Amino acid sequence: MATAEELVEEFSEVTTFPHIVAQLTDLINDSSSTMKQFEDIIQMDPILVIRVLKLVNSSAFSLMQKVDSIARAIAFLGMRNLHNLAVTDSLHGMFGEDTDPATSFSRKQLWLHSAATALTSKTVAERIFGKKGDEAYLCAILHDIGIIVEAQVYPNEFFHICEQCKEDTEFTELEQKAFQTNHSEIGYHITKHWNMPDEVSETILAHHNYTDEIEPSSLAGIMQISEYLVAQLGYTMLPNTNAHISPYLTDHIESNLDEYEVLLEDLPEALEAIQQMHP
Amino acid sequence: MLFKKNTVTPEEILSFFHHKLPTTNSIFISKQGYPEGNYNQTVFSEAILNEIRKLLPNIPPSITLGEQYLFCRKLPNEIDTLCIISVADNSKQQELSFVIDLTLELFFKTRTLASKGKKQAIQKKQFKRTVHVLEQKHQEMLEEVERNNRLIREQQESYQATLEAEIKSQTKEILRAKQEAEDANRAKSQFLASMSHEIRTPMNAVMGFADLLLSSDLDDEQLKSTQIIIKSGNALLSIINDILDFSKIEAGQLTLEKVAFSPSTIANDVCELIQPKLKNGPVELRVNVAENIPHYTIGDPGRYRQVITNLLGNAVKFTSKGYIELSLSIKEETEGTITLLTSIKDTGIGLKESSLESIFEMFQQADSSTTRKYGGTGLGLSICRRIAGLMNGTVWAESVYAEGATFSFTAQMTKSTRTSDSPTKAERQLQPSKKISSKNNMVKAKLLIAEDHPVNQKLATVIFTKKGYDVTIAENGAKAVELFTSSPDEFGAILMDIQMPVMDGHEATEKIRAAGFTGIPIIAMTANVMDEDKARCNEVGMNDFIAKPIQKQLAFETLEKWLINPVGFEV
Repeated sequence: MATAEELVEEFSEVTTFPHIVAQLTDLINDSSSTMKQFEDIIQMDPILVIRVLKLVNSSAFSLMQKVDSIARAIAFLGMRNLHNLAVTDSLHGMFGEDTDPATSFSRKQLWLHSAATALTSKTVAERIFGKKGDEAYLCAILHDIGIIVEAQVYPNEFFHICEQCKEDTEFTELEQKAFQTNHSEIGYHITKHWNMPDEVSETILAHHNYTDEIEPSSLAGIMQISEYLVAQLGYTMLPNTNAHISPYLTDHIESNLDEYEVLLEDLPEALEAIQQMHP
Repeated sequence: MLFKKNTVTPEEILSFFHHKLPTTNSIFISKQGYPEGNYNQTVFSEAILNEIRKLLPNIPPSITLGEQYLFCRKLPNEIDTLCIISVADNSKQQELSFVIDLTLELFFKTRTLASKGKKQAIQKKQFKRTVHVLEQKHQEMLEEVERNNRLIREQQESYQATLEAEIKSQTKEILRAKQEAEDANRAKSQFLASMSHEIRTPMNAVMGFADLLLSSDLDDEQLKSTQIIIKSGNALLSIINDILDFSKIEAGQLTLEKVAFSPSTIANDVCELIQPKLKNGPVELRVNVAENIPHYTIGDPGRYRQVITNLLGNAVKFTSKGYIELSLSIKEETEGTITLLTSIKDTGIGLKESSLESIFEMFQQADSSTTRKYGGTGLGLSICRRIAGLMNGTVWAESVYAEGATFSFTAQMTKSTRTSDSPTKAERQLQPSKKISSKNNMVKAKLLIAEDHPVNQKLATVIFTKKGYDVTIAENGAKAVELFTSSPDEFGAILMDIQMPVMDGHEATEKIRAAGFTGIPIIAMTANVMDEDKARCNEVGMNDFIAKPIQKQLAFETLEKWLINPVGFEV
């Protein structure tokens, strides 16, 4: 069976990351890039322009003013936020539609899980930890891309382990058995391949690491907390599964239960907006 | 599962009731699941009493069933029942039931309010963090904008610098190109001038000797051949003149004179000159000058004459019977100007409609067969129109094919105040010959002819010797100066070529004038016929100008004018 890199390679042969989003990613990594460059690149793809503007003006952002140009969108949301939008948009296309409704795995459900985790990560970062949430969002929207790679390259084996996965089993272990790798490793490699910032790849690699090394306020911590929260609201990766979380993070949630309770109460409305954004 | 749905505990309710209803005898929570309601003694069973006693050991044993009421209320968890036992008679029972319901209601309201307040406090805290993040982002955005502005400014500055450098180099390039164009133009003029000179020099010999041949004994065949040589030579010269004129107009070098002249006189003169050429057939030449034509107008008589000559020449060329009529009238008059309409009507071959405009284009004739039949360069009319343009007028043609044509020429002149008939200096220069020339007043004199070209030396010698002059040849300017200054009284006039080796005609003239000999007429005899050449001759102190190829009659007349009436040249 292939290594994670080989899987990524095979996947990349049929599915390419949109050139424009890759260019935007390069700009994000380059500290000397300007808003003008960013704007110019988005402008090259009229369809992206339309979708970005539609997203920016959707209820999810609840901006007071109507945004009618990319320049204004950058002004209101910033380059990172807009980059996240572009990545979200292109990933949505990459996740694709469900073709075989008979299996328990649903691309659409995985997409909703990713989008919900992304939004929750951003919210947790900002509302609990008072940190900028754009990077947490980027990590979370990408965190399960490895699963799409598996489903694409080895559909049969992948559907088989989905069937096996129950509430108390650990998905990663099944993957490891079937592929000698797992979606965290694959996600790590593919995001490297796409030139995503290093922290993003490393966070994805750690998103099923349930040791005490993961600090709650770290990107991986925020991601695990968010996965746990969205599972409470029913946005799981597979039906009838549960989200795992390290005891250290459980302690953190328990000692800030009031805060998380409030957050959890506000989340459904925001997640509803996501579903509307990507029907 | 970390998150619990309902956090209300029975203990909280109990303590709330103890606090709110302290006078009530006993309050407890039962897990027995009593149905809600108010119960009097009739439903009190011994079992309940036992339970009560067990839960509330401090209940006085005196409690009897007689005046007791039990109030049961289900709690939200659906498991526990709130039980209140109170002493009440029938009349108070309803009242107490209300109080208990209200107290319960109050508990939940207070409870919700408290949790709402707590939630709001947390939300506020979280929103504060979010606002903090937003402020942070805002700050970063401001820095980003500042950085962007700086970058843009730098870009603009560098762009500005590039632009300036670009403009500078372009300006330099344009100046260089302009210089080149000017140089090229000068070179072209120079080329034309020297071409003209180079052609005129040998033509001088051809024409001169052909002319000499005519006056010798020739048989018919020879006479005819010689006439053909002269005719062809003249044609060639007129082509050269046309080309020179044309290139001058093209280069914008043609400037018009502004002198007083009589248009009607010129019209008559031209007709007179053209008359001998009417040998194609029985053609009558008429001149028709309107009465209101002023005697004098101010303009360029030479160019006016050139246009009329050309148009009339065409009429003569294409008319073999009938008449040619030149009429002169006023087309328009303003306070200071007068526009003359000169038309030449003929009964010649006429023009097709399609040719009426194209004949005014360069090198165009009515059709190519015209060239074969009638000759010409096709430049004449084009030149006429351009000259007319310089005079704020134009030239156009009207025609009925095969019946004749009318060429009209308009030219704007300035009004002149002069009315007398005495000719101006310009007129004298332009038409000097006829008035002065006469074979009788020929003056015997010795001529010093400076000429480097051996053939032209011989020609000049023959021409002027035949006329009766003594001729001394100097082969260059230096020689001429030497010959003249050594015996100045010997010579009546000097005919001076311009382009000569050792010393040119200009320098030689300057030397002679500088030596104090201002009275001797010095006449340029040169193939340099451009206007600036003539001006230069005048500048260095020459009295007059004979163009090569030498037209014998004109040369004699010019020479005689100065021999009869030598006018000192003021140095």
